Amino acid sequence: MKADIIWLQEERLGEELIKSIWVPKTQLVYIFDETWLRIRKPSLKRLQFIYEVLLDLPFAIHIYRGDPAVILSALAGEAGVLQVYTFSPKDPEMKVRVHQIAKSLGVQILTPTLWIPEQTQSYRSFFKYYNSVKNQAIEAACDLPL
Amino acid sequence: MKLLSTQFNSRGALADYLTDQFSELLPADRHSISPIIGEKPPAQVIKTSIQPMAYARTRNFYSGSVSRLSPYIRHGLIERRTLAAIALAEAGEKNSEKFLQELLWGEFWHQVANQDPDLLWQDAGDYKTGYSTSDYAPELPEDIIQGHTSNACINHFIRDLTIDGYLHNHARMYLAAYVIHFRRIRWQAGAAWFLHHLIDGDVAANNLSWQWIASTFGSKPYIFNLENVTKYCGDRLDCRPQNNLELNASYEALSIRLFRQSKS
Repeated sequence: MKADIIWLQEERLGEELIKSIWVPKTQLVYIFDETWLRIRKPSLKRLQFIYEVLLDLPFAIHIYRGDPAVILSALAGEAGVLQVYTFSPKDPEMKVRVHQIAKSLGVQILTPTLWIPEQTQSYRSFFKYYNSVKNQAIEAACDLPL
Repeated sequence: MKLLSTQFNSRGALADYLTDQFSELLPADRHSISPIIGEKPPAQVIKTSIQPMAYARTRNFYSGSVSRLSPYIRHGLIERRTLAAIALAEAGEKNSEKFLQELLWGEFWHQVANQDPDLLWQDAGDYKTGYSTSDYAPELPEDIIQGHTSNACINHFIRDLTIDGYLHNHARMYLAAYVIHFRRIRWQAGAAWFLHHLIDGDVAANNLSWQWIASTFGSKPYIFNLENVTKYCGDRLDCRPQNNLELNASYEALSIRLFRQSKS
């Protein structure tokens, strides 16, 4: 898969995940979303942690602050950009926002493999949930190479 | 659209830059650089952080054997499934059960939140405290925000939250119960406060846990007393009764003080 821009999300900063679609010349972009900042009001500690993770990635990265739709449109308009990819966030509220922006711009959303697929049954009790998914969780964990 | 710098010679220089770039968001936060660094821990450190049997015995103690890897899980640097695999290989299924449960709590909260996103900020049900939502204040008072309450151990937890950006899980429960039940403040105000500070802050786990403490997502309110804090945190915190007067009571006395009693 060729990826010209990968728009990173704060919950999906794992090197292995990025490597799964990264090819040479891919541009990595992280955007401190102006709207999201006003909604969640992160502390300096949270901002710094994300920033340090971004700087620690073994890839060149461009970090912006602003409106993701505007920034991604501008970047995607540049010569040579074929496709923008992003990974679907886990945070339900962030997911709605990212999916809205992605849909409006034609960004391709990728969903990483889940440890436990979402259950169709609705649970209010943890232990009912636990008893239902425990074996599945152990099997999936045991399949991982360590 | 602003392209930000990626060249810094120290953590302090980065903090100064962020304070400048995000100044309008950080009025009271200028000097709190967390000791938790945004770099994935080496594989060996991750492995040695997972002690499933010690976790099962000591997880509720402030100095207990917890992994403290949650900031890295929250940002996708480490997968819960990988930690489960390490635990199972290290200690086997039976001895890893408590640790596995802890990992699956995170999955559970996401399952609940994805099925009903309204629960993230709206009461899932009534408070089971004898009070209604309107009896709870909508904002945190300044003494809580600043960590200057009349209870030394609560102030210590607030320091962990606001300076380190990390709080032991049991301390999160104590602090949430203090805010909601001892001070009668809406859980939403406390949940937003935690999300602001906690580096591992995850809206599903955080907010639904606050609802559970409040009793809006559960059958009864969670409370604690000084005797309980002393048992689990007494070796590290100032738990002297004279410095924690609000908390120094039996559960029976606290229930009478904190909750509206039904007339029979």
